[in-house]
Amino acid sequence: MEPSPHRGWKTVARRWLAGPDLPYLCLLVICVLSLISRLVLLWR
Amino acid sequence: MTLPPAPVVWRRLLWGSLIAVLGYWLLWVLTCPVLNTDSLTFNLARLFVLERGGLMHNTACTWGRLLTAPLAFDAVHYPFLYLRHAYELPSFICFIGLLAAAYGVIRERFGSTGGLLVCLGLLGMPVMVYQATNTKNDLVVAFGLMVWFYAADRARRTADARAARPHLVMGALALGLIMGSKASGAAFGVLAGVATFATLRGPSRKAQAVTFGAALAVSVFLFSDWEIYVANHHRFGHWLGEPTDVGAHTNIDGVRGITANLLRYAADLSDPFFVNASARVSIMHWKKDSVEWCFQRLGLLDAGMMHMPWRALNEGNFTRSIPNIYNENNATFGLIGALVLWATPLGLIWRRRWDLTTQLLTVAAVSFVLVAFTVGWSPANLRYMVAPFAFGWCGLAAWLCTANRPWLTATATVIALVSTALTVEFAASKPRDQFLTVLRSPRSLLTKQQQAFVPELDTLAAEGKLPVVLYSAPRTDLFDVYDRLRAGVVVVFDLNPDTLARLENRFHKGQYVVLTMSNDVPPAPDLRPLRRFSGGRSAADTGFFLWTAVPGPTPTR
Repeated sequence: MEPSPHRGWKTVARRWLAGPDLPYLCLLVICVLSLISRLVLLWR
Repeated sequence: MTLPPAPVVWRRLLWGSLIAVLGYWLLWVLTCPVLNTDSLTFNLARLFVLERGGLMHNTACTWGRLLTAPLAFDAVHYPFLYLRHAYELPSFICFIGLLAAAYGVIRERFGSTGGLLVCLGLLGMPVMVYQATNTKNDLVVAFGLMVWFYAADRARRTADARAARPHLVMGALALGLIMGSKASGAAFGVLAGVATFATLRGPSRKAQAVTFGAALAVSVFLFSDWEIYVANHHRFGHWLGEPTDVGAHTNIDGVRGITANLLRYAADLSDPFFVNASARVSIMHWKKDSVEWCFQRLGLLDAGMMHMPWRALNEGNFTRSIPNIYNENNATFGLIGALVLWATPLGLIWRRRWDLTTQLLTVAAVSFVLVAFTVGWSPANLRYMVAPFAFGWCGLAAWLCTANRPWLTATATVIALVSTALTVEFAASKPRDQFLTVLRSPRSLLTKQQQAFVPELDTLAAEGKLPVVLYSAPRTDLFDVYDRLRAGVVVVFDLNPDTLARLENRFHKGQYVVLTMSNDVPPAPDLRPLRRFSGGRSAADTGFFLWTAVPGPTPTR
């Protein structure tokens, strides 16, 4: 059964939890913060 | 093999519990100040020090370890030093990523019922939750390894070689991150990298190896903090830092050490958790007596311990000084951890198939033994075990799901659900009954020492007594000093008349407040005590003194 438009947020939430997006998204957030901060802190 | 879907009411209850408990911990994360001793003295304090002078020519470093440890995860907190809130958010993001990766791995084989079981179990382990809600760099290793496993698993199951590439790149990225986050993560990263190359299969194996190898090389260059390891080798002749400091943290007793540590961990982590407090204390004493009895007969007393200069350890520390208190230093992995501890070796011996369960249990066992072998034992060391127990629980959950007996997974889910609730109830470092108070006034959670010290720093700033001259501050709460005074801190290593004359030339003041943060105050003439806050626990630990220095003319000799 197709999800109704009113349940869209649930579908999105489930897709994020089930698909590759969330672990990779978390990894990218941490990596970007780490890289920028280390550039600022170490190479001065 | 997908498990039959659970009843809708049951699924809603599990999802609701998961989201509610995650929301509860997230509110703690968003409001809680920095309380962790290591973060106050080191993990976060070092960011202020590095900000002043970088890595190579730093003149503000008052303790060698501020510069020698890998930085990749500590550095993530740098923007939060200016935000002044939600310092623990990076660890919580890692925890969410860990849950999502574990859910993804299990759900792919066993459906959402299995995935929910894994998530609730991870939330039901006190050490795991504490590491998700503080600023230490232990959970990131478990997170990185789980993302690597998840990515490698997806790449293996993808028929199209091109479609597997993004997963291999993300796996390599995760390994680079853990190599730069913690020294023990470097060992995990190397082993996981080798395992990835060894397990690539199929006709596109060579292309996949090239993709993974290239991504790993870039990731290691960007994230592994090789510059700190190289600087350590240049300064101390050892890639991890000062050799005596490294030796103090490692197991220097070889096979005797690992045998003793495995016995200690086995006894310590066999936590019944669900029994009442007095029964738990009795069991802890029984475990201590049993382990000591074994050690005396095997000649293992005091083998495999850490030898930190500021905290001498011996076998007497094996029983936790305050048993039955689940705080950041004393917590275990609860009943889930005890089940994982005994099921992992059993599963590896019993099961003869190289399936998902065995793969997860193998990662758990290898990482467990690696920690027990390399890291010296200390009562506060269970945080090193978050990766083994995250994988162990996923392996055990996969094993239960493989058995395809609904009552078995239902029982495990109930245990996980109750553990999740008890973890909230027992959390002494984030006490449930103070939750609303902390939301209104986060400072009410500061330690006794911080509550005496931080207002004094604020008073100094308000009274215009800056700059404060920081003199003699080894392993101590540098975070609060820099956090409250920022640019108003001047670091000096010698308080002779020449130094005071230089201060006068720079700031044109006749009087300075000098802050010393050690019971061993080096001799310094012409200082008179202004205020003393509290004594430290040992000679090298935190003690607060304030002095007033009156610079005078440099005496002629």
